[in-house]
Amino acid sequence: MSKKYEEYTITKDGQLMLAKAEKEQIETAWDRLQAQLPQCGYCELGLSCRNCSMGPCRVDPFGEGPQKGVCGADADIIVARNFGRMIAAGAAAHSDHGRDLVEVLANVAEGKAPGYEIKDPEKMKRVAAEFGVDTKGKDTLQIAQELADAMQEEYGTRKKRLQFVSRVPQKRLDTWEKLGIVPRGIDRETSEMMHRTHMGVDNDWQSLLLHGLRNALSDGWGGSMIATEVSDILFGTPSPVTSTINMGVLKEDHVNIIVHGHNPVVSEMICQATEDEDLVQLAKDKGAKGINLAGLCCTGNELLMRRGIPMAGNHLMTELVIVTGAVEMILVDYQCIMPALGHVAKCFHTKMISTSDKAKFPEMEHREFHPENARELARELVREAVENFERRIPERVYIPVEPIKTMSGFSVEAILHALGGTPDPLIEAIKTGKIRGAVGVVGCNNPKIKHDYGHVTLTRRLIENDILVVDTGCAAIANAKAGFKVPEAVELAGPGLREVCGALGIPPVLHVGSCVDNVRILVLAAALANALGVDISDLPLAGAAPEWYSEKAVSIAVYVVGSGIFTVLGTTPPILGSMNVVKMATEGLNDVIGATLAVEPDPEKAAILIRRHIEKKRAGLGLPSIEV
Amino acid sequence: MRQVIIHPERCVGCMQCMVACAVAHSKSKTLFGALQEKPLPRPRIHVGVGLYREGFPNRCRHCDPAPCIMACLPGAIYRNEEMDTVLINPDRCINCASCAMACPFGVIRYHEDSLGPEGKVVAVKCDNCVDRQAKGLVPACVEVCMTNALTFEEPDTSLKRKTDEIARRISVGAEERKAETAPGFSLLNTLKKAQTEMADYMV
Amino acid sequence: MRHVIIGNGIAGITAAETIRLLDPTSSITLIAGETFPPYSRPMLGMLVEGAIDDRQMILKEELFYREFQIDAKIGHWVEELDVPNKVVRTSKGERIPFDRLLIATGANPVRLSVEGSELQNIFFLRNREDAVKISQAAKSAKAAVVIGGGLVGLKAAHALRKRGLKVTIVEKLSYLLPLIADGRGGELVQREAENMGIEVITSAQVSGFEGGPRISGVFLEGATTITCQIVVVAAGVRPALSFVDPNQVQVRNGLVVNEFLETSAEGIYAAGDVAEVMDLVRGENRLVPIWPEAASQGRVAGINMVGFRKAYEGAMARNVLRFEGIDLLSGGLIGPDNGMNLRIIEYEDRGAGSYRRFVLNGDRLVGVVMVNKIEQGGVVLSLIKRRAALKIPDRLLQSPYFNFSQLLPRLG
Repeated sequence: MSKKYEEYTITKDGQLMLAKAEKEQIETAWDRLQAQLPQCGYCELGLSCRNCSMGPCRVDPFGEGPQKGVCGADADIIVARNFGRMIAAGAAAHSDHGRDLVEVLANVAEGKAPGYEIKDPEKMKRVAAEFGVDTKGKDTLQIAQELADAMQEEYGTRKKRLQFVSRVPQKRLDTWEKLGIVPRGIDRETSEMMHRTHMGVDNDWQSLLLHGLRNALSDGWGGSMIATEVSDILFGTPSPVTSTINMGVLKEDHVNIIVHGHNPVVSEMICQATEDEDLVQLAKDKGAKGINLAGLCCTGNELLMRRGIPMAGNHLMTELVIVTGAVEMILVDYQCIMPALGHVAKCFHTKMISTSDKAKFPEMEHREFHPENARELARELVREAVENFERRIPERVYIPVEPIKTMSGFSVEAILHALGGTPDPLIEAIKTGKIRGAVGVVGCNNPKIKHDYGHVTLTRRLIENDILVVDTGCAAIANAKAGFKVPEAVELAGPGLREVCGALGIPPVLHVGSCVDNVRILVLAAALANALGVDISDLPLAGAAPEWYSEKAVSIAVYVVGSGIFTVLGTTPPILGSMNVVKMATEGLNDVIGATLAVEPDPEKAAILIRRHIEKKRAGLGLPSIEV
Repeated sequence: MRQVIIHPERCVGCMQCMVACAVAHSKSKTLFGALQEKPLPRPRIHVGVGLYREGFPNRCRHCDPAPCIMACLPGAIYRNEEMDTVLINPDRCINCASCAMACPFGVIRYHEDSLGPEGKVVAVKCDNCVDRQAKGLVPACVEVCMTNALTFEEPDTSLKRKTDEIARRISVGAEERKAETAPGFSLLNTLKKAQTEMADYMV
Repeated sequence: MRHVIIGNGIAGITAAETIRLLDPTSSITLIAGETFPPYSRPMLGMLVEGAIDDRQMILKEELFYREFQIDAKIGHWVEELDVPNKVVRTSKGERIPFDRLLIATGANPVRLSVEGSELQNIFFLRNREDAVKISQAAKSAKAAVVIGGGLVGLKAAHALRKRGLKVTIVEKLSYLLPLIADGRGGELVQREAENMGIEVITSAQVSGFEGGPRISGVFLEGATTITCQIVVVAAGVRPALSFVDPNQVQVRNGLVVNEFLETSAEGIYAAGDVAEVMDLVRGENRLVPIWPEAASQGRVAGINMVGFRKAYEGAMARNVLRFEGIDLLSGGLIGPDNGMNLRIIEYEDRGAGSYRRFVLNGDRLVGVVMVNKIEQGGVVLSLIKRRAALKIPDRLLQSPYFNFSQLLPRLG
């Protein structure tokens, strides 16, 4: 019976756990997708609109049924409005994540956040300086206060331009200014998108798409970037670290605690609590060898990057991890947490705890975290997890694989450090062609695509062709599970990449972090562009989201393209209902913003598209290039 | 005479036909009323999922000769010649499922029929909305299909249209006039096909 | 043209109807042994249960013969068939000549040749009279034994159980429905039977009956005795061909027919439970004694008798049973067969309570067993019948969402 699961996922632990889930009659996301099929074509095309009560409306793609909504909106407008709202939702999620971190920073400055501290004061000074905060003679907490104030301003109406926009090359800024899309305020752009997409406001599909770019940029160079920078400030800037990954990181003889969700505000506190000597002793008294913390999805990525905490899996593995029967507690905060999880946990002894006032779930116990109570609550919850150890049912425990090694922690600072302090060695390698270019492989999983097949196949083809891959989010977990993140993996790379990475002792695929950490790729790209005196869109770079599902991914794709980087999507966005929007996104945007989107479900073909693009950019820079 | 004709290449899988069919076979004949009824009315057209995750509206073809009529043990299934419709008499039906064995399209279901004897599980299938047609209305599924995947017309009219379509496609100068009816939907289906065929992954 | 049809089961009356629709003038004589109007034999179990009365089983009322101008000889049994002279002689002494003859006499239940089989209240369940007798006896009986765990046996057991009797099924092979289901399917049906209070004993043979004059117990080999007041023997059927001389017409297990359903004797056809037709799955002539086959064979025989040449597409074994909370639908070749390299795909969804077993020969479906959620059974059976090469992955067959649309060639 497990044979058919080879068709659902390329991962061994996934296949084995799917078989166990079937045997134990536990429903998974794959089952629910089957039950949903066929999914409504109007919605797949972006041609349905529920924005007002004169509707709901849909446009017949065959031209015979209704062609306009009741208000008169045609296919172009409806598609553009829907797409705009996806960007708004994604941008809002990232930006709210950033906001929560800024609030913690402010609380730390006021001494109201026990357990939190400024781990990287040097970085804080650098960032504060960008915001015009004079750091001379001020103590850490005072700088923190001023920086937090300045960052909170970023969310509002007063500013004409977000601060981090100054990091981009002048040419890029000029393009944005000419188009009128320089992001002004993080919440402002999202709020304006909701306004524009209300019935009877913005009814020009190009105008809507332009604001979509602006909204996404307010995420990429706004909310997400604040999230990453403040996380580095509070929890430490990542540097290379080794750890382990896949379901085998769970230990049968330990208390297993998993953190899932996004914000390190919660997971860092849990991590601290699991190191508490008293609690470790309590675990031993209960018969366990210790407390084992593991991560899922982005918050797992954050802990892996900074502390080398092992990771149990990505998006489609979140239900299956519970099915191992070896997890005492899962703590979640927000984003990408399936409401199905609580139901799966009910079949086992696993306690499910929701921690965010913004995110409650069925069958989960709600224990709210705030900066003031975080440290204490974390300890309380870890204690409860330890006490849950004895409720484990040994006969139902099945940890299917041995964990494999992975290297993580490649923040921009760490990459530059590995290169010797400047990006020059990397630029040199690109110039000579030893490294043809770089690609960010990012994004989620989606049961419509064979799990991890998209990420791993694309990454393999790219590194085989001397293209450096940096990855984030669920894609990073997929690549790590495929064994790409160890120095020995250079054997899988082409000769040039092998030489460069081999010399530096780094893998050919670099983990740069969680999904908000996609901004690290932007920062690196901007740094390279500035060093070379060109625009980001001139660089031999590309982005890819082979298995994306979320609205956050839409925002990321748009801000990456808006920043000048060609991006290939594996799953189809709901824009095919308007060929105008499709043509703009895949062709026209090049003239407008210097980059486009492409849709290609087959990662083999996507690899060729990307390679061709990179060689074209190389030629544009006068670098040696080849025909693909 | 006019018949319901299916054009599967136009089905977007929205399942409105199923909702309309169930409501048309309820007692109250309104959506909100139907949802309150016991038993809940059920559709007789079934949108199934195809190989590439596309929709297909599967309904009784009112075959002539009908395998279900020949298979029916108590003779509960019969043909209404005037309406060219195969109907099931729920009073005679003994729920033996011989018709399930016979129907090569799998369109018969077994449940309590809102308009049949109370409390009795019987075979139920499309009845060509003969009641609605008697009132001059078109079948419910056709009425709500906005993409014209379901039409109500003379078979000859539909066939002629198809013939003309094909003729246009292969006639002189066709390439210049190559306006695709629904490029977005074709593209979507191409991508879905690529997605499901990639790495042998199917629904 | 004088058409004579022996038998008023579904094969016979369908043939009669077909002949009349194609040929308005020729004479049709139908010889029927049972005096009750033509009825639906598979509904007999419901008659025993008391769920229906016998009028509800009737397929054709008296006026059918008049409307279709059929000379009906009711209450006549055929005792002799004289092939060279083309005449049949009935139990009432009538000699009826024919130009075309259809033998559609059906089958008779197999008798057990053990001691005590002449005792009273040992019944078959083949015709209406049997059902009436069982029904009558059940009024004063406490326990019944049903010998044979096939379709008829299960229907008898179900009906008697519903009437409040203690019921035991004795089956010779190791699981119920051995001819139409696989081991798992039989097991699931057995569980359902036991859930409704029927005792099931498999791998057991009856060695004798005790009592006098009425049955009081059944002996099983191995020294078990089951007390009972009713026995229903449902141990199979054999074609009713006592009146046929095997020197005149080729007989094996039944009457061997060609693709036009004609026997070895020219002008003499056979249809239904008597006929050994081409089994399109197995590729050889055999008995396929099921109701829908009798109906379609009757039709094709009628067409050929009128003078049109229509080849019969071939028979396919298939059955469906609704038994309390479980449904079972099966057809084709169920299990491994000598000489065929068969591939089995099994799938059970315990949560939904459904089970499937698909039997493939290369990329062609040759057999299926489905337990519960049988609505798509006809789709699968039509695949077997068409001998279509399956171009879809195995996993689709196993999915609860398998449906007709997955067989269509996709556009674009």
